[in-house]
Amino acid sequence: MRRFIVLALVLLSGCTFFEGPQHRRYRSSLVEYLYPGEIHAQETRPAQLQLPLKIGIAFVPAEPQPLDPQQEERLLEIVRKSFASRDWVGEIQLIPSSYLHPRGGFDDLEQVARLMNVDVVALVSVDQIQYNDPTLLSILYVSVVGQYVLPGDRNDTRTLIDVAAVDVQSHAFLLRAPGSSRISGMAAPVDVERRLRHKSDEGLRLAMLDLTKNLDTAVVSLKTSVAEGRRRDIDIISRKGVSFRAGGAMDPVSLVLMLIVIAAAFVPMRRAR
Amino acid sequence: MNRIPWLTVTMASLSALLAGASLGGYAQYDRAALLRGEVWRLVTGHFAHWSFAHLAWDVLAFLILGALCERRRWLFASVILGTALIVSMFLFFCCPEVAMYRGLSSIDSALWMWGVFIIGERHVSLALTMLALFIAKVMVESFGVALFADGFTILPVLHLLGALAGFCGSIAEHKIAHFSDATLHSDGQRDRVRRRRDESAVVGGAV
Repeated sequence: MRRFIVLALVLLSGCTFFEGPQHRRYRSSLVEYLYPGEIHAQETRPAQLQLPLKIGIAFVPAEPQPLDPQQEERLLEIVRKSFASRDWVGEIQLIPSSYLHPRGGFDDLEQVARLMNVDVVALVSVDQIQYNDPTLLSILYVSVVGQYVLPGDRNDTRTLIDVAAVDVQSHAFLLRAPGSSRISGMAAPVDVERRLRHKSDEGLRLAMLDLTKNLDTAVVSLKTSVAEGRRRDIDIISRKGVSFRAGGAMDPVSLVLMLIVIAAAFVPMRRAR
Repeated sequence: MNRIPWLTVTMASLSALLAGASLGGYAQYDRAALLRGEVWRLVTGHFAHWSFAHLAWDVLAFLILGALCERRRWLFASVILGTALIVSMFLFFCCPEVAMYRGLSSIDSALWMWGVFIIGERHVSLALTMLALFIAKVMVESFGVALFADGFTILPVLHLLGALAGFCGSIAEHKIAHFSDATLHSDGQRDRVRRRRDESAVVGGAV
């Protein structure tokens, strides 16, 4: 009986660590990269996109990088596929992460775009936040068994992948497509790290799936919205050098000169009368 | 020039109305919509505009040139309708890459060329100056320099096409005027012959 009590005490007690809520975040911010200082109102120029477009795809640089090389490659491939199937897209270049510098701004982007000979850069940013919170079951962590067996911690992984295509010359945002996911689960304290890593991968995978759908829609609607005149800040110039949106305009200089000629033609006639 | 050019005023108002009521999207030349059967866009597209500045300068030119050219209303309406249709058909068949088109300037170009001939009836040198201005304008546009044309491309070829329509309009007006004069002339001759017959009949009767 004594042996049983001792064994029970050993199993049910332990110098447990009882940690409160924790969270971790992996983040690469597009705004921080493109506007490293304060965001000032900038004069916007209409973007003129010469078809076929030369597109570069890159990750927004961050320290540390939120994704491992395999995940990066998978994500870049998704973005590449969304653009590759369009007849108005010519070349697509994958820009290595190391080419861009954190908080580099548009100057950094322009340099890389010149180097890679691209007109438009699709910047991919990732924001993932993971929460790990104790629940009522966490009280059982006082036992050694509890810490190993009982999944008393609730974890929550929220992922947002954002793709923003920027016209390098005019700094105009052409399109934006998000992909998001949210997954949650329970884990025992000793398994939390492994579970969070797994959930991180799973969250990215689901966000990528969501992104694929949204990016396809955004890319299709870009051309339509430009052609329909909803995007006045963008003009698409066809392979023949003609805009999707054409118009005829009179300019004030020739109008004034014309008015002078007409007036000159009619005013002396009245005097002659 | 003394009477009110009602057609010009009405058409200029239509342009302002389309812009004010944001109906440009329903009126513009839209290749995809045309293929769906919305054929009114062949004409109404010329009365829609991309921006306020675009509208203002186009309509101002239209008012000035319309006041100059609106002498025979049916001919004026025919030239405008003809120019709109010719330019739209040219866009449709020869420029398939142009998805949208807005602007009165092709019609303005037609009236400009017509105006050259109207002014030429009074001052040949001024007419030539006006023609030179038009050519200079088209040349400047050909080099891609255009004010108030942000977000769209100006197609100088459409202005030349409009000018051609205006030239045809001025020839038509000249022919009509010539025909009317000839008719009046022949009517006068007929009257004179009839008067002589009547006079000779009166003289014969008296004899």
